[in-house]
Amino acid sequence: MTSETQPLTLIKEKDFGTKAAHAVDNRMVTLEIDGREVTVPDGTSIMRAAAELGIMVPKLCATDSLDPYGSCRLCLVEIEGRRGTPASCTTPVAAGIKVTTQNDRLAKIRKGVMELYISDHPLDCLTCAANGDCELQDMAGEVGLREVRYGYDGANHVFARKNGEQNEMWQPKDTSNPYFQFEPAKCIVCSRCVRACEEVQGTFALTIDGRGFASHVAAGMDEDFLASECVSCGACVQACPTATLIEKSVVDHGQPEHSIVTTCAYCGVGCSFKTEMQGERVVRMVPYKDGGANEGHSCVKGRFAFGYATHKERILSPMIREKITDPWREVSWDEAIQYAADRFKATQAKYGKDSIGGITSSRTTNEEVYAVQRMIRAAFGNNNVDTCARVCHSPTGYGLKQTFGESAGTQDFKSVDHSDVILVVGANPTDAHPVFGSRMKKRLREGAKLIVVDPRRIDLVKSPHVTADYHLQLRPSTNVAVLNALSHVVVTEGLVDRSFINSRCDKEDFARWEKFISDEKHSPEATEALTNVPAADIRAAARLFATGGNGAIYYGLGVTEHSQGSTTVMAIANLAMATGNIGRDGVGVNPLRGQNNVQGSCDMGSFPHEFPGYRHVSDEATRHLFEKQWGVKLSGEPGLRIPNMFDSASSGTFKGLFVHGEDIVQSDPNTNHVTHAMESLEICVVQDLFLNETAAYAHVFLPGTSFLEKDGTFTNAERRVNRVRPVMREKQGMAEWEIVGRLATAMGYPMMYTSASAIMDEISALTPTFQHISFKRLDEVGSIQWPCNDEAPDGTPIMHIEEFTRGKGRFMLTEFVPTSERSNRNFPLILTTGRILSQYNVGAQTRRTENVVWYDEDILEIHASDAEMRGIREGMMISLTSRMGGTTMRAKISDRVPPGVVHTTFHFPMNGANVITTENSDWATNCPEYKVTAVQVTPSNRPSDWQDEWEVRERENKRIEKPLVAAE
Amino acid sequence: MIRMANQIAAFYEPYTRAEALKGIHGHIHSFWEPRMRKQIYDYIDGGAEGLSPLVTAALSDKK
Ligand code: SF4
Ligand code: SF4
Ligand code: SF4
Ligand code: FES
Repeated sequence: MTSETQPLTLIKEKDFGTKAAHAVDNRMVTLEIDGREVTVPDGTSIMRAAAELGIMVPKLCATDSLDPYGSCRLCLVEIEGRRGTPASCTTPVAAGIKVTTQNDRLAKIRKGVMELYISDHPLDCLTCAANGDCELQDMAGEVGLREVRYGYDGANHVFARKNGEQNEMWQPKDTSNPYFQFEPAKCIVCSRCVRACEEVQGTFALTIDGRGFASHVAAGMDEDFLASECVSCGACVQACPTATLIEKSVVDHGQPEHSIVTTCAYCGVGCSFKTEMQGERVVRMVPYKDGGANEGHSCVKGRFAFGYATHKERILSPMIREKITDPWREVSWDEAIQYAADRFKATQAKYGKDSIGGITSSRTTNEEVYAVQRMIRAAFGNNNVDTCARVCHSPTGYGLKQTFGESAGTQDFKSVDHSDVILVVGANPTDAHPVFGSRMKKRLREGAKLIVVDPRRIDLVKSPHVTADYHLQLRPSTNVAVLNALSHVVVTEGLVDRSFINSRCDKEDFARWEKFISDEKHSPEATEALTNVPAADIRAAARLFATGGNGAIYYGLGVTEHSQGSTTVMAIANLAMATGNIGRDGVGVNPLRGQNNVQGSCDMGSFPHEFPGYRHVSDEATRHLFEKQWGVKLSGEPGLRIPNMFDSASSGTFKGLFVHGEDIVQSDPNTNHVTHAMESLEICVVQDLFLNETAAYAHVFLPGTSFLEKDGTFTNAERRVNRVRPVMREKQGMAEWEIVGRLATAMGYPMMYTSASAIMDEISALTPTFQHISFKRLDEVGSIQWPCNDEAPDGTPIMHIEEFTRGKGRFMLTEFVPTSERSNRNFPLILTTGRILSQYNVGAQTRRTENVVWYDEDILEIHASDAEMRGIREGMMISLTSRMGGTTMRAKISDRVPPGVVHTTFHFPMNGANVITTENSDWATNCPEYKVTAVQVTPSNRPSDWQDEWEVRERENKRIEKPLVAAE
Repeated sequence: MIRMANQIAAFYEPYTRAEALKGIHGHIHSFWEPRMRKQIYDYIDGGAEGLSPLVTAALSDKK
């Protein structure tokens, strides 16, 4: 709950009609509109200049998220001394002109235009779902339309039948998309949807078919929306001025009455949304134009897939049980918390202080993560705290800290608008970070060059109006060799940016690296056999990157989830420094984070060797700071990391685990090893929304809150701290930081916070990079990118501008070391894993939404030649086995993967993709090697043993004594 | 554990010996929990089979 005193309103963002202009040399132009003087940047439309004055010229086809089109002719104006009535949306301002936006002549023309529109539009305003939020209705009102002289007897799109016969112009409603509908009878063919799909989303799923009066909007090849290429981002729905494209939730519930701005809880882009509400019911989510990360765009997950928050399987009562084979018993909060505290204490008494620990979540708020790590360090009295970020981006933190001095990406998302060459390594932005992917595609359509390093042909390599200049389709696990080869070319062909090196980097380290990388063994020719990438392509790509202007590198889990993850991150940093691509707009090294708060959970001290703000636990000064604040002695020894926790559990020295908001059993590699470790625990407490796979091994279940109920902050991949605001009360009755505080208190360490905002105040008092961040500041300015302190009071969109955080940039030697996981006769294929747009990670949320219409099981992609050799056909059930275990799933023949490589996702538990992944991990951080597993694939007709066991466990370990209380 | 230690050694391979020893020692002491450090020291005492000589050397000084 929140105690905000501001009255709620429905936020209506002003529509300026056309985009803000960016004038060359900031040239400004002064003109007169309706007798008022206004000064705007050169290139601004007359419509926008008028809107700056507060004069809103009537319009239909223009909106400020799109380029002007000039088709509706409603926005006409007069300009003194010019003939005719130009459209104000497409006519730019000029110095000294005098514009008239309204007089009798203009009014008459506008009325005529509206009359024509309305004569081909149904008149059912009162019962229309867009009633109250329809621009056509507004314009009819504004121009004072009082009568329509033409009847519906003639040609129209409105009625199914005309003069008793079928009306060829009429098209039925398309309700195939689960979240929005398309009702062509209401369409005014303004093409805003078509332009939104092209310009904002970049999918090109919509077109205007036909000509003149017969023209109409068509999805794909005149298919329904679900069958078309549409990715359900909703940009077209948002752009539509009428009820033609509209959310089904608005059709069902009506127009919202108030809205609250909050942050999406799915991916690391961190989009801002207006949550539009009726009471405590969410009617729809609308991306917020002022959102720093998304500027008004979103993807299907954030905009539509929030139904899981009220899903009937959500658990709302605390539960306990003696043994994991017992059924769950619902109890009060006090009882559950006391029970958990007693068992943790008993375990410590029996096995020692270090026998328990906890895991923080990358899905929860900074404040919640901070509370959990404090509970572990202060109440548990050890540093056995780790985060699920371990399994995805820990090498980023390590690699970038070593080279640049800070564990974070260097740019804001906007920076890509200034990039000339974009290098994407092991990332799939259009699926995993869709809103940023759209932004990148936009820049590519404007002409930026693209180099993709990926074993799989991701969508970016070839999609409408975007083609990669080079796709370096490397053999999985050879990232370091490819990056070294690129750097080798840069160095040996004399393409190094010497002035950058001289002024910004440590010279000794550079000289040594230069010698190292120049070695013939790193050349593209020498590594070709290893990497499978033609040497000529590497040379050409390296030249392009070094000489093509601003070069930016974006990378993802395809880089980090390898035994050489940290080395790869360093190799990327080396390449960026060698080419001088750090410290300004358009360049940089940018990790694309998986979960929404990966960055935040790392910042908040989730690692066993670091306090909040990445300060080592052995650092006396820092430790004393925390000891003073927390009033307790703290350990200066690093604690256990997640894989070490499992190992120690198996070997009997680790006995108690607190798991917050993560499904480690489903998401961690080598499921069999993990489950064995989980079974050896004497106390496991899970705090989550659902009885997930991990809860099957738990003794206490503490129900958590969805992001719609949370008060706090998330930090996205560009270090942007965004507010998360509660739009409804906690459904289980307690904020998550309070649960954690009570648990710590019950263990004998009083830790009671009064609000999430108080937790942030403690964070900023103790963490130099957060010095000036507070809820109050965030509410004022919207969002802040850390570091935000005395040197950078407004935050830091781009890092390392004058110098690196560590002073001089440091080149690291990055020797390629082949992984021990290799294919052989028994396991001849290499499996890599990934994700797809409509589902999210372990899928706990998205699986519980309508998003399953796009993807309802994990599928194995296999190349036609590998499939043929094994007698596998499209859609066939196959068995997938590795040294570690086996599972079955459906096969899809695909030329996205090269021969020898297969690919799957891990969104659905019963497919158990991690049953087969190994416990290999990154040398520096133990980040598991998800991306490389040697496997065999054979046709199959029965589930694997593991799947049989899973079904039994699903039934047995999740029993609850009382019938489930439904969420709604 | 042996594999992890050897992986660390492999990373420091291209560095000078002095730096490699310092790097490996520093890494293990900054990131490994005391239990794991004890295990590796015990393992070295027990003959260090399969362990990279660099690791053994790096951990020879103190515990
Ligand atoms: S939902 Fe998005 S992808 Fe689909 S048609 Fe609309 S704009 Fe295009
Ligand atoms: S569907 Fe909406 S946005 Fe698209 S052309 Fe019709 S009225 Fe315009
Ligand atoms: S791009 Fe990411 S943050 Fe934005 S709406 Fe989609 S899932 Fe949410
Ligand atoms: S708004 Fe200018 S022509 Fe439609």
